[in-house]
Amino acid sequence: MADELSREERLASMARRFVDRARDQAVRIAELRPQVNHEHGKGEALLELRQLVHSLHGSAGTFGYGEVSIGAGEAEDLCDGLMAGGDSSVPSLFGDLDHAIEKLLALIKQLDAPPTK
Amino acid sequence: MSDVVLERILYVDDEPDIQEIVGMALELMGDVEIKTCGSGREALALADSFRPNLIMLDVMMPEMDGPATLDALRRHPEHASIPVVFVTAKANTRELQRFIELGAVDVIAKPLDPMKLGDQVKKIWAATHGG
Repeated sequence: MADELSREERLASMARRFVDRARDQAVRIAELRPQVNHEHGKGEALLELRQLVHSLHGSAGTFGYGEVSIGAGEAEDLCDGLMAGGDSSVPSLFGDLDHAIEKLLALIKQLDAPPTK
Repeated sequence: MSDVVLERILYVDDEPDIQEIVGMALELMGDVEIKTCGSGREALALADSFRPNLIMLDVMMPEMDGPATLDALRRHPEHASIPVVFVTAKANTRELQRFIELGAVDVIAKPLDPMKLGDQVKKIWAATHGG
């Protein structure tokens, strides 16, 4: 029982740390958002943005925040599309990415206490 | 083949949060020693000292990613036969096929479920070692 409680406490502590980290990442994502557009996806901002959303995609669901994981995954796919580049769909991908980022930031803003599974 | 006991697992992921939760999840398996690290290079060093029976590799890591780490392991005579499982958030059918062709014994999709991960690993180990 003590082990069970300890495990629950550890999970809750990890989830809290994840939320703190996600909020920090959201601040950086918001900073990168206009840079990606300014650089037309050709600079370092898109690479950094992709790394951040990839991290959230992989980790959020593990801590029970499935919607954040899905939202980050959508943004990651759009980053990949932009990085692949070279076709006529690229201009619209910027708009789609901006929309996906806006949605993701809103989801992260709503994160609060660790969810119950 | 079936008498090979899973004693040591090395989990490699550049996300410290994921390392920690996976470490805790795999502890639930019981008599299995778990080590985690954050890069392919650390994994290669730990393969020497820790001698894992199974290595779980995040696919997307900076500098040396999962496939590059697997390739380096396969080139090392003492580590070439260690079963490797890829862990990835991009587990579509095409990628899965590519990872198996690279030499992974299986692929586990992210997000990971900490309550099920141990059973997933046990099943993979059983399939790899005939029971």
